Amino acid sequence: MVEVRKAPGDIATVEEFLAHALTLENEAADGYQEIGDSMAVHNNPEVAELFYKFCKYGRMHASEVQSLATGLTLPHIAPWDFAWEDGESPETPGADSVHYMMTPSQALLLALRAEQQAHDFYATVAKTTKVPRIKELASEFASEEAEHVRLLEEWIVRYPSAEKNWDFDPDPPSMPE
Amino acid sequence: MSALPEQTALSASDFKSDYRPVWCPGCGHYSVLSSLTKALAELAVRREDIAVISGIGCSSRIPAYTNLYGFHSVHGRALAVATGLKVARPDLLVIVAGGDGDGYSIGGNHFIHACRRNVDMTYIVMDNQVYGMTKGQASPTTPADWDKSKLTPHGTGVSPFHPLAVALAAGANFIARCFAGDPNGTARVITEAVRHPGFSMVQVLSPCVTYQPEQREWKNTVRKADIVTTSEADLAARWLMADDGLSTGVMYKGHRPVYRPELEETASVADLEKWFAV
Repeated sequence: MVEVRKAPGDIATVEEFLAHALTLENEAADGYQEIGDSMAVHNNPEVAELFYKFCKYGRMHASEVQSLATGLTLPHIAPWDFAWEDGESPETPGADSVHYMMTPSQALLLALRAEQQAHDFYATVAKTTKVPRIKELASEFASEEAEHVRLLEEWIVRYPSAEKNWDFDPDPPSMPE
Repeated sequence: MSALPEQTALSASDFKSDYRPVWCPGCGHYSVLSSLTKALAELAVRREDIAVISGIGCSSRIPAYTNLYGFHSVHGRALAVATGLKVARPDLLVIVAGGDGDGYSIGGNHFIHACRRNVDMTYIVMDNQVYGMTKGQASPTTPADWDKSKLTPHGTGVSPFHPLAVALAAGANFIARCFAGDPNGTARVITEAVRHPGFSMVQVLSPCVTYQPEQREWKNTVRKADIVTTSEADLAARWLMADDGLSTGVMYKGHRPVYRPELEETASVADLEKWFAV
């Protein structure tokens, strides 16, 4: 089954670009919320708190994009028709690398990866689009994401790296005898 | 799917409930929940016209996490319950969800006959090749040499069940495999499965990071199948039997007649209530 996916540079209108940006921010926030909830449920409150913070920033950015879209009619795009390079919204945190005992530094690294991917997406759009207004907006968003990356890098050094046996659980999920 | 009243402008999050899932962090089922709600938003069906029916197991908790009618039913009996519901209320969009143990072992016979009956509903099996809720025993799809459970320290020594080949042989009308690591692709397949008339079988490879942590590797080994969807059962069978279980895509879309019994009211609700009076 060969699927032809739209490239970021093929985004044709400002409305379509903002629909991408809005989904990117909303899905990032939803992802952080979900991981935060799972950490809270599994008794990792410190990391849950961090993910809730990331979620709050995501919602804030989404509302900024929403403001930019005021007066415009954003198109409806099916989840699988977005111009994401690997099919998934680039800032969505990689839930597959989450662990119930993960440390704050690992949570920050996960967010760093997500922010870096968001930056790369906007940078690719800015570099490849032929629409001047999209180029302008994408460059602006790429700079913002670069700033988030820088802030996270600063944040990470304040936390100790995960120890060697960070996932050792003295009371592990029970295995049948 | 028969024509249902359209609902406009609901987003995926409108289909999620306020309950926080208790699945382990990193579990693939989060992603399946996201794919399901995205698909339902795309299908634009009113929430009150959808029912999610499940059996027992980690994945079967999914009705609670949706903002829809749901029934967390009996182990292995989700398909029986869903069949009854769809036959009695053909106007509803019926989604059945569960895991590999629930669907292929405890409910194995219901699975075969649901495929054979071809009632218009979509069955999503979140397959992690393990019984997670009971803490990590081998399931019907566990590889024969999996020796991580204390109950099967030398592996099961039994060939894994081949759900899609069985579904095809038993008469399912739509057969697909997806990967939880591709939520948007899975949403697309679920949408297609719901729209296709008859019994649709969607196997989702959904990693259990707690009891099968090696499944984290699936993100590197699962790939899109190099096939064109066929309506020829023999072609699909040949392809499925040669497949290693890690390819994703829609393998088969058949055209068998859908089971839709003519229903005529034989008793009023008041009469029925009399029969059940204590």
